[in-house]
Amino acid sequence: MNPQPLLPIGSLTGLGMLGMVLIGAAGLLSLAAVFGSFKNWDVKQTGRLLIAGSVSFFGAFAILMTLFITNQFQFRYVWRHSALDHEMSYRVAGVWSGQEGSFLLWAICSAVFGVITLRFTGKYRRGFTGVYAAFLAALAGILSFESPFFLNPAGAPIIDGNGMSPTLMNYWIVIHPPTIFLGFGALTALYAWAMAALIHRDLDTWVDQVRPWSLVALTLVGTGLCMGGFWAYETLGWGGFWMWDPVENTSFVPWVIVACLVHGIFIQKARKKWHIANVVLAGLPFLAFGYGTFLTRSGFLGDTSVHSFAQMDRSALFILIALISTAMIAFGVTIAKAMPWWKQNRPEGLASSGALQKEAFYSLGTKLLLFMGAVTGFGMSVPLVQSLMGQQPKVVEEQLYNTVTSFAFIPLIVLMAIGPFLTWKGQGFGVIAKKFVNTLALTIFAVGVLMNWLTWGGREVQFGPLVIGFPGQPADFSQQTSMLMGVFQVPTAPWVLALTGLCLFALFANLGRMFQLAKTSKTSIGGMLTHFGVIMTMTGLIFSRGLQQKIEGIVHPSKELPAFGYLATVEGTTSSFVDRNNKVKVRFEKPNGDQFLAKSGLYFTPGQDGAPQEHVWPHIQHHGIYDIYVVVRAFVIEDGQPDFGGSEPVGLMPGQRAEFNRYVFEYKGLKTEGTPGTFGATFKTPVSVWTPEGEKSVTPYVKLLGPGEMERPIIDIGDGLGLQLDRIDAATNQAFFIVHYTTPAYPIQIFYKPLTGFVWWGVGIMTIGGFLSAWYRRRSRPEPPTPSSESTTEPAVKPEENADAPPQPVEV
Amino acid sequence: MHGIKMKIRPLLGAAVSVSVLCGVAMMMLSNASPYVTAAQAKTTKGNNLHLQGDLIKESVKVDHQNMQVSFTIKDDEGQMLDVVHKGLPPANMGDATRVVAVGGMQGGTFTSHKLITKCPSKYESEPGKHPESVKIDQS
Repeated sequence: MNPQPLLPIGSLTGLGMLGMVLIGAAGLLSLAAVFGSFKNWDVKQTGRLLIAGSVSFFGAFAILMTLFITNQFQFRYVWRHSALDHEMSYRVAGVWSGQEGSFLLWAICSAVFGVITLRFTGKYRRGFTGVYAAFLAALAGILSFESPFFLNPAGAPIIDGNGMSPTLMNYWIVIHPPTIFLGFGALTALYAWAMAALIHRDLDTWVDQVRPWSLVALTLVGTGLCMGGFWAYETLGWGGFWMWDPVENTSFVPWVIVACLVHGIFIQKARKKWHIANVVLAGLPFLAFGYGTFLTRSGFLGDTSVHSFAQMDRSALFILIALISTAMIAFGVTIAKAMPWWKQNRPEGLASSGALQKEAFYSLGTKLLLFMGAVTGFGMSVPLVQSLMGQQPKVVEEQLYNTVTSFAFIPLIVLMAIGPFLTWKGQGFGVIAKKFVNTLALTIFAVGVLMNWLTWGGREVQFGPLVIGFPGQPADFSQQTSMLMGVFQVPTAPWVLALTGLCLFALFANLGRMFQLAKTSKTSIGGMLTHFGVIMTMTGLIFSRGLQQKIEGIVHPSKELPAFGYLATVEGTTSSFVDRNNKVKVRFEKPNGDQFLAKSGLYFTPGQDGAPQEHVWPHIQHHGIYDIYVVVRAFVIEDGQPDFGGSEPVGLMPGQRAEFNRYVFEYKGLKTEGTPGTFGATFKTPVSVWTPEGEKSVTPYVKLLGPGEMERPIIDIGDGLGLQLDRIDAATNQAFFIVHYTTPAYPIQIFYKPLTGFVWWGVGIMTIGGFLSAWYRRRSRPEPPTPSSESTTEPAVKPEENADAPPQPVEV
Repeated sequence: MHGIKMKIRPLLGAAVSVSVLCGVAMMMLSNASPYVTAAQAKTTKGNNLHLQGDLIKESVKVDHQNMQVSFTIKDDEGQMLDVVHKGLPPANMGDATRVVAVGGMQGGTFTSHKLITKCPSKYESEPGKHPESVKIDQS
C-alpha cells in the first residue's frame, strides 16, 4: 500500500518513450550484429554490437519496471496490470504478468545468457553471435508491435490502474516467471552454440563449452517447472501439482530434451559418438519452446486450454511464426549442409558391447526421454492437428498423458536405479546384481513399513482395498485405478505401493552410491543428487495423488464436520470479504486434544457484470508425513445478497420432532389468529428447540398481508440458525419448516495428502544437484581466449569421466 | 555382408521408432476427448465428452447440501442442454460466460465431473470500464 506515489502519475511519459526507442535500438544493434557476422567483421566488434543490443533490452526492462513502480498508468500495459494499492513486490511482478512483458522478460533472459556465454564461445564466436543476434532482433520486432510502452487513449481515466489479475497475486508470480524464463533464455544459448558448431565445422570443442550451460538450463527450467507446480498446489485449490496443461507442456518438453543433451554429451566424450545427435539435442529445446509459445499464444488451442491468453497483435504473431519457422528451417538446412562434410570427417566411434554398461543405459534413457517429449509435444498439438484435418476439436486429457508416458517413465526409474553402479565397460549380470543386495533389502523393508502404515487400524484415514478397516468404519473397496484407458482396473493402494517401491529402490541405490563415491568423484555426485531429487519428487507426486482422500461438506457455527479424525468448526473471518488477505478460520480438533487452526483465504472482487467473484487460497497444514489441505469456498450470492442455504422444507405433524445439525425441533401444534382466508390472518406454529445450550420456545408464523403477499419471518434460534414456517398443508395438518443459516455457511473441501513433503524436498535436492553438476563441469572447461590456440588444447578425457570406475582401465 | 548389416540396422531402428511413434500418435488421437455440441452429446456415448457453450447465467443453481451445481448450456448451434455438475463450481464460475462441461449423458441431463470456465478477463479490458467496488457484508 502506497498512498503517496513516488512521482505523480503521468510524469514519466518521456521515459516510456525512451523505452520504446531502446527496444528499437536493441533491434537495430542486433540486426547490425547479424549483418556483421555474415560479412565476417571482427568478432569483437560484432560481439560488442550484440552486447550493446542486450544492454538496450536491459534498459527497456529497467524503464518498464520504473513505470510500474511509480504507477505510470498513462501506459496501457501498466494500467492493465497494476494499481495503486498493489504492494511493491506485485508492482515489480506486474512487469511480466501480461503478454507484452513476458516477451520482454524472454528477451532479457536470453540476452543475459548471450552476454555471459559469449565470452566462452571461443572459435564459434562469429556464428554464435550471428544466430543469437538474429533471435534478439526478432524479439525486438515482436516487442515493437506488442509494445508495453503504448499509451492509453487520450482522455482515459488513469487515476488508478485496473490491477493485476487477483488469481496471479501471490509470491509465486514474483519468483516463478523469472526463474523459468532464465531457463528459457539459456535454451537460446544452447541453440546458438549448436548452430555455431555446425557453421564452424567442429562438433567436438563445443560440447566442453556448452556442458555447464546445458546443466544450468536443465536446472533452471526444471526448477521453474516445479515452482509452477507448487503455485498450482498452493493456490488453485484442486490439490494437485501437475495437469498436463499446454502451458506446462511447453516447458516440460524442452526440459526433457535438455536432459537428453546432458546425457548425450557423456557418450560423445567417452565414445566419440553422437556428435550430430548432440547438436540436434541442443537445438531442439529452443525450437520446442518456441513452438509451444506459438501454440499457447496464437489462439490455435482455442477453448481447449485452461489458460486463456490475450490475442496477440497480428504483426507480432507473424514475426513470432516467422522467427520459429526460420529457426527450424535454418537448423535443418545447416545440419543438411554439414552432413557431407561430417561424413568425410567423422571419427571412428569406440565400440561397446553388452547391455549392462553406461553407454547402453544413457542411450536407452535418452530414447525413453525423447519418447516422453515426443508424445507430450504431440498431445498438446492434438487440437491443432484436428483442426488442420478439418475435424471437431479434441483434447488429450490427463489420464491419457499418464497412460502413455508411464511406458517410458517406469523403465526410466529402473535405469536411474541401476545406472549409478555401471561402468563404461560392460559387466556381467551377476556382478551388478551383487551390488544391489543391500538396496533391495532396504527397499523391501521400507515397503513393508509403508504397507503396515497403510493398513494400521489406528489411523483415521483409509486407503482402499489394502485397508482391513478399523472399528466402526469398514474398508472402502471402491477405490480403483483404471489402467490403459479403462481396459482393466487395479486396486489403487497396491498399485501406488508398487510404484512407490520401485521409486524407493532407485532412491536407495542413488543414495548408497553417493556415499561410496563421496570421496573419489565429485562430478558424479551432482548427477546422482539430481536423480535422487527427481525420483523423490516423483515418489511424492505418485503417492500424494494416488492415495489422496477428499471430504466435502459445510462448516457453520452450528455444526461440526468430521474429517480425517478431526472435527472441523468454523470460527469466523480475520477481515472483511473485500480484503485480499481475508481468511476464514476453521478449527480442526481431535478427541485427544491435537488441534490446529486452518486459515483458508476467501475474498471477493467485482466480476465482469459487477457480480462478486470468488477467490480462494487454500490452507495447507503440513504434518510430518502428510498434508491436510483445506479450501473454504464461497457461499451463494444472488443479486448481491448472500444466501447461506439451509435445510429443505421439512413437514411435521404436531408432536413430531426433527433434527438439524445439533438442534432438535418439536412442533407443538397450530394456533390460528383471525379468520383464515382473510387478510391479516396469522398462523402460528410454536416450536420447542433443544440447543446445545438448553431448551427454548419460538413461534414462527405466516401472516397473510394481501393478494400473494405473506409475512414469513425467520426466527433466530441462536448459533447462526433461523427457523421459518414455509407453509401449512391444510389437508394433512402438516407444518413445513425450513432451517436457515443466518451467518455464513461455507462449503469446504478437505484433502488428506500423504507424502507431499517428498515433492518439495525432491525439487530442492534436484536444484542443488543440478547447480552442483554445473559448477563442477565449469571447473573442467578449457577456455582458450583466442581461437588460434584452440586447436592445441585437444580436450583430453577428464579424469572424473572415469573416476566413478577406478578399477576399470581408461578406455579413451 | 558386414556392410549391408551396417546399413540395415540404423534403417531398421528408424523404421521401428517411426512406426512406434505413429502408432502412439494414432492411439492418442483416437482416445482424445472430443468436443461435442448438445445434439452430438445426446447421441455420443462416453464419460469424457467436452460439452462447450454459453452459460445461461440465470439458470445456475448451486446446491450446497448435495454438493452439486446445475445450469443450462447453450451450444454454438443454439441448442440448450441441462447440465448437472457433481461437485462445487469452479471458483470463477460467477464470472464465466463460456463453460466446458466434461462428462456424459445420464438420462435427460448431461452429468459432468469436471467444469472448465472461460472468463472474459476484465484484466484485458479498456480503461473507462473500471468496475465498481464490491459490496458484501460479512453478516
